[in-house]
Amino acid sequence: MVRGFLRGAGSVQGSWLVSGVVTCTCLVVAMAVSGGRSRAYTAYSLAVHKTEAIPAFARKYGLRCSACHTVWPELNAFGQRFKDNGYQLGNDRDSPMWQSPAYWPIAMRTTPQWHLESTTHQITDAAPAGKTLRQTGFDLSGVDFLLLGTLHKNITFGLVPTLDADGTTGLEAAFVRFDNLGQSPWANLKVGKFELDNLLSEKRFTWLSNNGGFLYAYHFLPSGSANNFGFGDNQIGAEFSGHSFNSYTRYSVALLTTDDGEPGLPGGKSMDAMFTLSQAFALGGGLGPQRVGVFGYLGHRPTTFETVSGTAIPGTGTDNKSFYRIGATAQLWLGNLELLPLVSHAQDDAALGPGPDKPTWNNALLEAHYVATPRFMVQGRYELTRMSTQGDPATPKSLGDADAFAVGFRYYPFMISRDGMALHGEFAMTRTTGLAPLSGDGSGVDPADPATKVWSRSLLLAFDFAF
Amino acid sequence: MRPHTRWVAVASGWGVLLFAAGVTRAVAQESHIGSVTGHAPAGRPLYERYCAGCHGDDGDARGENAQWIDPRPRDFTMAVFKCRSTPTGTLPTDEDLFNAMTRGFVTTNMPPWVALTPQGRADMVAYIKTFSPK
Ligand code: HEC
Repeated sequence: MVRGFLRGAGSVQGSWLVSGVVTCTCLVVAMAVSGGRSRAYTAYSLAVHKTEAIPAFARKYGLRCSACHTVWPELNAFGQRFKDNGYQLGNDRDSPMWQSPAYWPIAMRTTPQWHLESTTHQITDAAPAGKTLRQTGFDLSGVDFLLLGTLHKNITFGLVPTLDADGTTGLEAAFVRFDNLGQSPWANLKVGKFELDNLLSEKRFTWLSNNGGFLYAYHFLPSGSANNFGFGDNQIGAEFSGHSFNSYTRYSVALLTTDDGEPGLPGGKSMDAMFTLSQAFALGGGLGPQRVGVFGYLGHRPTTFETVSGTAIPGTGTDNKSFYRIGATAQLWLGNLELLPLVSHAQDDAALGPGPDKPTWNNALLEAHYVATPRFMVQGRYELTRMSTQGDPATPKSLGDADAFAVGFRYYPFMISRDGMALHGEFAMTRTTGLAPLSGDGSGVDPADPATKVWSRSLLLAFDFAF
Repeated sequence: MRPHTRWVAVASGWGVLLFAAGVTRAVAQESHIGSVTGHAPAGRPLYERYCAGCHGDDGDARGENAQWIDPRPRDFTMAVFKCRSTPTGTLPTDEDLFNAMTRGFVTTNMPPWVALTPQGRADMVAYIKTFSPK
């Protein structure tokens, strides 16, 4: 034991030295690049809470992060099965009664960071024709409180309150799940607010910067849209799902309220529906099985409300207009190289857009991770979004088109079963046509000319930790 | 015996020994489960990722979690196993190890590793066999 401990401590010290030197070098270079031209603008951000790397499970079962994650927070096949089984391994450690009374299923995650944002063609009071805005400095992410586990054998719960760095609180997830109904893994029912069963999860992905930390595929809406749906937003409803014993075959169907996860029934009385289906194959000698999947979402948004003194009464929306999203994705392994392609097609009813036509667009992305070891990975992503029909025929066809590119690395100085830390470096860049980027950096104002290409860049160095 | 003849004899003796050791080692570094052949070098990074926290980097059941776990994880250097199709006191077959690892042990912390690919599991069986001289 002593030998093991000392050896472990030595390697940890060595890794700390390396990470310290790397961090300092990167910080110095980045600060020199930024030239100290920092100005405080109030940037709104697309607050994508990346919630799900949960050391409470590691503590409960005595498993290292690397058991469930390729690199945390991304799940590997073992972690996917654990999640599908209601955060249960299938042994008698699953029941809360087995745990020491001192065990509390809570973990927290936050990310102190230094970042630089720059966006071109931003209209300000002093520059009505637009200028490049740059923001830089040390900053904080919010805090995610991750309370997930079992209430009883085969009854799972999830509760994720969030605290943004500016003090805003939120409820990211709150659900109960009845697992293995009739002793079958094919029948599980979840009710509450939860992440959609997205095969390429934005909650568990390895990107954090303002321009890289979300997918256009999950949040893009065309110019003039009255829709508010985002695949990446947790939704409120009920999900029925199932999987084979090893979780290689998976399906889910869900009924969701029509309000994009906003509580208090602000939408109408109809329901949205979502389905996913995926199949994994044990092919090749890669780090995991090869998985392919399809997904679809049929949604509605009301266009008329009962009102009092002109104010809409929540939940009374009628005159529903529909929209849909369909797509396909995969998780492929070539040795330690992971490829994550996704294609999707989207259409909204004309009544949800600015004109007589149905806004229609397509999206494609390819993400690649090289998982050198459970403690080091490098990654890249390219994503493009193209409008195929604008709601208003007078709008230029390319308005809203986006190209997003990102590269980065994550280095985990140690790998144990109590907590986790990653040194995270990322550079992300987007080019949007005629619209401010979704990241909302700079002043977040659309350029005057719809043909203008707006470039937005993020450079991020962060200490991402969860315990 | 002329000096150089003795030298040749000694060298070839060592050669035979080294060859034999090499063959034994090569055989020990493989596992055979049905049509799947596991390779110890490929199993090593997987073992470190999934198993070492309990079973220890050296297979000696001294992973950092072992002290908190009851019953203790199996010490692979002892080569004594519970689930065997073979007589007591003998080694289990590759298939026994593969099945034990796939199923896990319901009353212990040993999880079922069924979600990993059969190739990955076979590679790890080959690797855990290298911990024991038997
Ligand atoms: C969370 C701790 C833990 C992890 C991680 C773990 N094991 Fe185990 N393992 C145990 C325990 C505890 C036992 C002893 C079970 C018993 O005594 O019944 C065991 C027993 C075993 C056995 C012995 C079976 C027998 O017939 O006696 C094998 C083989 C094994 N583990 C393989 C693995 C492999 C391979 C991995 C990684 C893929 C792994 N274990 C990961 C805790 C763990």
